[in-house]
Amino acid sequence: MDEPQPLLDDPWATLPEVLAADPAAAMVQLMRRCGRLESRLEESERTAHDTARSLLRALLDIVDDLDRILTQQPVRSVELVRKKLLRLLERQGVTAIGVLGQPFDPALAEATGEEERDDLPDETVIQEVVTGYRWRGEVLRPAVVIVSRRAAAAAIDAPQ
Amino acid sequence: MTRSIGIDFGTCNSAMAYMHRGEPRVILNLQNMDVTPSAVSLGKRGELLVGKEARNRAILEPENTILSIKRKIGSDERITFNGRTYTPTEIAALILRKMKRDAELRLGEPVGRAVITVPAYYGERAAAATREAGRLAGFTVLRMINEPMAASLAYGLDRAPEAAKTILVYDLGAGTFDISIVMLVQGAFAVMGHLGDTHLGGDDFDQLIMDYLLGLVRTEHGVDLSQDRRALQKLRAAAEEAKITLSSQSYAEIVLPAIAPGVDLETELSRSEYEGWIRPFVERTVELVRQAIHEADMALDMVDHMLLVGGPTYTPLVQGVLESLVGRERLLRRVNPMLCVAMGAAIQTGLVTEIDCPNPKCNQKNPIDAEVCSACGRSLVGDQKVDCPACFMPNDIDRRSCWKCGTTLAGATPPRRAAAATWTCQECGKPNPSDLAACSVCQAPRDRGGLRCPSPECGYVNEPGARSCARCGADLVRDVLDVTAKDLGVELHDGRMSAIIPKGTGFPTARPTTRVYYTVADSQRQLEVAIYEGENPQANRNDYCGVVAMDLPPGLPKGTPVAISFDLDASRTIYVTVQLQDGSGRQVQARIRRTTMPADMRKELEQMQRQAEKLLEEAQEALDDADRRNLESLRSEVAEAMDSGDSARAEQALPGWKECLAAAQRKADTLDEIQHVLARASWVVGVVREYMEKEKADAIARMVAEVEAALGKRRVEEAAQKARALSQYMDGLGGAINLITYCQYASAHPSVPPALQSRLAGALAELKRAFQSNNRQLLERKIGELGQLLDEAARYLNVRPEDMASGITDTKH
Ligand SMILES: Nc1ncnc2c1ncn2[C@@H]1O[C@H](COP(=O)(O)OP(=O)(O)OP(=O)(O)O)[C@@H](O)[C@H]1O
Ligand SMILES: [Mg+2]
Ligand SMILES: [Zn+2]
Ligand SMILES: [Zn+2]
Ligand SMILES: [Zn+2]
Ligand SMILES: [Zn+2]
Repeated sequence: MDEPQPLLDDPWATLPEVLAADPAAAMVQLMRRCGRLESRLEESERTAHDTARSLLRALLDIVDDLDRILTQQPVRSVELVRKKLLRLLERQGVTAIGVLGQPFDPALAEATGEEERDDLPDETVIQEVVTGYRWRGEVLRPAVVIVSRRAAAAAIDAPQ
Repeated sequence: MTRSIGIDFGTCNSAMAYMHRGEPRVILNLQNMDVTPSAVSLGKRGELLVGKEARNRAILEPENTILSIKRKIGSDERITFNGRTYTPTEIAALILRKMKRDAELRLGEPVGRAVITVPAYYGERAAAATREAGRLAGFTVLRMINEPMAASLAYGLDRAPEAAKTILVYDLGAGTFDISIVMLVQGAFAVMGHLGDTHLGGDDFDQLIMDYLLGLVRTEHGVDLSQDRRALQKLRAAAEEAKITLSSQSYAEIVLPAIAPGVDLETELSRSEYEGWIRPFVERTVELVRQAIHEADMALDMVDHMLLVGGPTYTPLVQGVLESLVGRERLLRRVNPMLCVAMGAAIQTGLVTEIDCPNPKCNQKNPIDAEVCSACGRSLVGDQKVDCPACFMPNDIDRRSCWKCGTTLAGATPPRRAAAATWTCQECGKPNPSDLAACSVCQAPRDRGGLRCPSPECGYVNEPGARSCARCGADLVRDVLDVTAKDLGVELHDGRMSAIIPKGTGFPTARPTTRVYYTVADSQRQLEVAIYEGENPQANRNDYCGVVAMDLPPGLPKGTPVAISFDLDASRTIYVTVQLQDGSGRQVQARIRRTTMPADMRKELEQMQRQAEKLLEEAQEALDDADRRNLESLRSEVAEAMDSGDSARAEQALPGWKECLAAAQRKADTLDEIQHVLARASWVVGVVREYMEKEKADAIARMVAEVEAALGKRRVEEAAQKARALSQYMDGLGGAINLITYCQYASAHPSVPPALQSRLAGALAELKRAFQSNNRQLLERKIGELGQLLDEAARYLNVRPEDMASGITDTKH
């Protein structure tokens, strides 16, 4: 009977470490490595999202600055920069929250002042001091608004 | 299983973090903000607003917007909100409640446990009130740790390989400035000292800008806005915004259209101008830093690191001044100053190895993975609560009506909890169903918020509370020793405070601290040791913690030593032992838990407790079964109220308790009176009868029998009437008979000193001989002598308990 002979000098010979390895353990090890990569990926996605958020908020600040410059003296080139910036933000999914004329909602806006108005329902947004923006379903920045106050309501609110 | 989070409950903002893959990570609230304003307000339809939304509505609802509640926590002040009265603790609970809910929605699993931070200067009451707020919000509070400790944990300084480190934490918050000097020696942590100013912070900077703006409006528009509440709100917000801008830019624009009728405010503020205004404040903080170092017996060059904590430390001037104080190297600002306390608190959640049962009557220590207390079954993973629709307070889920306002809770449902999500294995990335505790592929345990192994080759994320790494065995637990913020001591009989555990002592204490005191009067029959916390030399100006009472045996000489020892455990409970050092070894032990109850009410409840106990012990016969049952349930209700610190509930129950005690006390007093008469009659009949006519003695005996018969039938009122008649009859026997009776009584009474007793006995014997030999002259002389002796003895007989000395002193004479 011929015993199969080991092939000597075979360039494709399986390494002894591999022969000794437990395939199940090797699999687990491999998956662990994948897992670590995946979690690192998730981590970086998360930080990317957070970084994007703060960056976008900073950009909105700049939009405000430009707005204020423009209300003081309209400069065409500044106007263009502003437009460009807004378009860029829009492409990133940043959209303005329209609150003007709506009932005041503290989840979307911060009240910075009130004005007596009897022609409107109490607490209607009558002026947007700062525009609010949404991004990916979250309030990126609340609006800052002035709301109406009915004279009677104000009297109840602040007895003198 | 439940998650644990760390919470920095701040004056201005609160923040939270949890352990994710072995590292602290900030939890954003539902507004995607890393901090939640510590503000509570009311919506247009009367709904509760907390955090940013409350701030957003603040100027529309100034009367119902509560800011800076942290300043009031632990005080007796009441807050009116939405037409109801709240304790500061309850308002704080509303804020913590929102944070809990946001964390649960963010993390997708129940968050039942928390570590909450408090300032290092907080006394027990404020710390206990904060803990109570956490409990009200539905948390099982794992630990309360102080803010500088949390900051040091966040910087990982406790893991530095070097030997001893001295760290100065410079915490400039919104309204408070705190300096803490902490020492880390081989993983052990101790606060060496702290100093601060409770009214110095970012708010002062805002105020400076506000003053500037007010001045501007006055000069430019001739309008004074300083009384206009609404305008002030707007100015304050604009001032803060400008301040924050100036931390990163050299100019800040302030534009406030229509701030007042016809007034548009528009101005620009430069950083250099602003820095000129705040410089005195910043210099004052530096001065306080020097003072703190001096008070800790240290020098500036002994400080290894200085940590910056609190939003205002972003201010370039602050950083610059501190840099020139300690140098660039020693000034650490790596971690976000507004978040580092929360991150440290999160790290602490991974460090806790045992949970104290939150049930005040239990106090059992449980392993960290226990879900319920092994001794009493109380939940250790937080309590599910429903929020009252009327007063907003969280209620236990099985309550039918709100504990605070009584509103029915039938329609209220517990807040939505995020659906149990799958979890991703930290090792292999496999998403596993939420009921599995270990990965189905690689068996790696789920990340439950433990610490990461510090060994760089390992990095394994362990179970919370693990003492050493499960993979490589490296040490994980970092011993943390806390330190007392104030003196803890007793009140002396003259009202002075005498410290037993001085401020700055590390705790939990390894062994009790004992001091010896002395009784203040001869034959003192009781000892009342009132315990206070604070640094005022007059005890009752400090925070009252509780009292320990002890009855003393008769005949003790003045100046008998009494040893009092205090032991403090990790949750700052004081274990008091009072031991009489007269050779008898008599001692009492008591555990004084910290509650949030106002001192007056606590004292009153303690007094009621003692009265109930005394009645149950000493007035058995006077009380029927119903009385006894009432007193017993009163005793446990009062104990419960004191343990839970729930003063609102106690206040409600108080009239009922008082009525119950008064009724029992009346019966006891009546019985006392009857027994007094009977005792007197027995002396008269038994010892003095030979001095009087037989019919009179028989009459007394007959009346005694009647009183006793009525008593036997438990007709106390009838017995009392008969006893009064008997008493009158005996009064009519004449002065001599009564004198002899009292002298007999005094000669055998234990509180009369023995020498006086024998003089009384001698005089009585001589009187008897004079009576028998019918020597009138001698008889009269002896009666006079007895009268004098009785006067002397009366001092010892007639003392009412409240006149009796009960104090101690620190000097022998
Ligand atoms: N970039 C910044 N520059 C200057 N000040 C800032 C900045 N960011 C926030 N602040 C201020 O920091 C303060 C809030 O800080 P922080 O949240 O640390 O206080 P807190 O912990 O709530 O207060 P306390 O420590 O008194 O309890 C506010 O006064 C805020 O205006
Ligand atoms: Mg703070
Ligand atoms: Zn228990
Ligand atoms: Zn209620
Ligand atoms: Zn796995
Ligand atoms: Zn390890």
